[in-house]
Amino acid sequence: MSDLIQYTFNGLVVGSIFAIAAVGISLLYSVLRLVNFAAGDFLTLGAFLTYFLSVTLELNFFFSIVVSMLAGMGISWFLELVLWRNLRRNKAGTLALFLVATGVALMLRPIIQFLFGTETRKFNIDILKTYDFLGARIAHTQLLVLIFASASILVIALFISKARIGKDMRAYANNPGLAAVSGINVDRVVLATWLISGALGSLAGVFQGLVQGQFNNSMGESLLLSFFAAVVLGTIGDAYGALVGGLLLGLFMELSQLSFFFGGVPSNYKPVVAFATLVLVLLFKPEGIFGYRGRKV
Amino acid sequence: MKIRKVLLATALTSTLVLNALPAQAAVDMKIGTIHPLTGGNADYGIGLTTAAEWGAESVTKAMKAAKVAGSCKIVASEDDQATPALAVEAATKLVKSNKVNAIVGPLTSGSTLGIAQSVTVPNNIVVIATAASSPTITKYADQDLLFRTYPSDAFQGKVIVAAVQKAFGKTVTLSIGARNDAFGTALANVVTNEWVKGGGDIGRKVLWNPDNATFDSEAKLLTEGSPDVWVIVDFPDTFAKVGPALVRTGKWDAKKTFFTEAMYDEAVIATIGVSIMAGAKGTAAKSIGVDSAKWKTDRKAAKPSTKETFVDASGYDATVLLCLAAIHGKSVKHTALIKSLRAVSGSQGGPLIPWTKLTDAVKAAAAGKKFTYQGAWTTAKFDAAGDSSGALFRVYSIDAAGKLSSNDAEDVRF
Repeated sequence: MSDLIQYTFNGLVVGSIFAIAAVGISLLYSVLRLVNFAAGDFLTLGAFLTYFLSVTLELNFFFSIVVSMLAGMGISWFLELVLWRNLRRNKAGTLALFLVATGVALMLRPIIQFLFGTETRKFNIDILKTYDFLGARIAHTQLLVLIFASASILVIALFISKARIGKDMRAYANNPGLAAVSGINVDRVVLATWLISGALGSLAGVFQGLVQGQFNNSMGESLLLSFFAAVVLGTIGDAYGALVGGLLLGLFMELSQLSFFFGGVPSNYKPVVAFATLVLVLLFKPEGIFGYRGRKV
Repeated sequence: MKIRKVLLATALTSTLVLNALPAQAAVDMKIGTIHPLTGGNADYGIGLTTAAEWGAESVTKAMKAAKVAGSCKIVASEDDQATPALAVEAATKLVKSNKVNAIVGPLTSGSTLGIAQSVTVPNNIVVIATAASSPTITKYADQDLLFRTYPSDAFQGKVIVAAVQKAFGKTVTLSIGARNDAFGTALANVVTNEWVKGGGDIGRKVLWNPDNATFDSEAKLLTEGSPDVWVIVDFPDTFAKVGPALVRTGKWDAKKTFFTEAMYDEAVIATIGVSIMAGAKGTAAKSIGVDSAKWKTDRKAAKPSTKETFVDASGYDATVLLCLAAIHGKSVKHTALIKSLRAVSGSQGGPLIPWTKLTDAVKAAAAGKKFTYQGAWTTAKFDAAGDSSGALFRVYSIDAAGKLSSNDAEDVRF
């Protein structure tokens, strides 16, 4: 029983990070048809910026996270104004946008390296502290991440379903032409999408840095494939789907190591489990878990 | 009188012609290096790279002293962050853009096998890996283009098992945790086989992907069954994440854990966390070169700002051997380099010439003689597989302050 609790908890922690990163990627795709290959590097940037503020400048950790999210939003806003908006006006296709996103990722990496160095970093938080819970050992940092990630997921879900701009985003994603003629401010929707994506990227980076304990500048890049898998699993372009897809992916990967799952899959095959799950789901539901919904975002 | 004039004219003409010809065709050897210059293994990579640069500078200086035409240069030093994909990119750049004749490095087995498969073997480029230790490299079909100055883990596996047996007995249960790559899986297999052969039991064998989001589940698996001792085969940047997860299980004990050479660096221990690493032991290859203390002093004088690790001299020896091979073979072609690497490294015998007498080594190479270059790290004597012969390992301990110590009496020689 304690094993089940332990692996479920581990899976929820990993899955919640996947979910937060995936929802940003999914929102961008649904609204802009942009496969944001730079998403992983926004994670790294968020973690390093929070490290710089909270460890180097010794500012409050939570204040540093907020500033880091604002910085993520600011950079996304800047890129929208100088880059993405112009590309859209020039009718750049999906492939062109994808390649430019890859270029942004390749530019961000050396910039992060130049600004923050290449050394392994850690936040000023006790990464060894644990709590016992029904025989399972829960790390302090994992608990923090799970609480704040759950709250973030709830806020994102409420924002998309209830807030005016969230509804506009859904309408635009569903039918951009109709949304534009019905009076929705398209530029405002696009900008909001970038701001949310930038903030979520930074937040996921901090969460990932916390659960890893230590991180380096390849952190986000190495997780990018898992984020995209979560997006596809939950239906491409469906933000709710990305949330669920991320959580399911994390849970499958961790629970697969339990002995009741074919005797326990060796941990080096965790990615195989993740992608086998993805393939299996797509075989029966090629549009992803939430594909039946008939609408996006 | 007429005969005297003819003789004089002949003598003058001969002198002019002979002076116009060089004593030996100049050999300009271009070498590139690939090491991790950023990331968790950067300390090792920077140390090896600067040692290689100093090696090339030393040979060029010795060539001038020996009046041997030509040069030996490091034309580019690339960063692979100990990642095979980046190593392949780096090797492609060195071969296609920099037009190097040989490569020194990479540091890791995964990167070494990656570049051999994709770049260096298809392009007939000679490589001397500086710290790649996987036994897989020995068996790799490299068309004799892949050499290494660092001993194979076929040796280290035996040393780890012997050290564990000495500390905990032969019949205890041992669990192994290793990174899932060429280095980790191969050494984990050697340790498993040696341990079972010695009569011990294997508890858990857990392989982890370095790119995992977290390592708590792997840590839990590795501590299940309460083994008597652990062997961990990992690199610093990954173990910086695995280590805290192991501590959080509440079942892991660093005092019952053996690491490999990757943790034999006090800066690395400090980065991972002294509280995590204190009390652990490990094994690391040791220099079997000559005057290694003098080499460290001289290197510090020549390259004062560089980072230093225990294995740096391996980069120096790899570079010097390549330069000497080019001089010996009077060519930078791979066929000549391969043949001459064995002629100058002692595989075919010949007098001993230490690194402290590089001018003598250059003269011997230029004269086409067979000799045995005694490096600061090793006397390579490359075997048929390109591996260096012989190895020496230390068994080290990490104290409560994160300081490393070892006892020479416990060293194991092969």
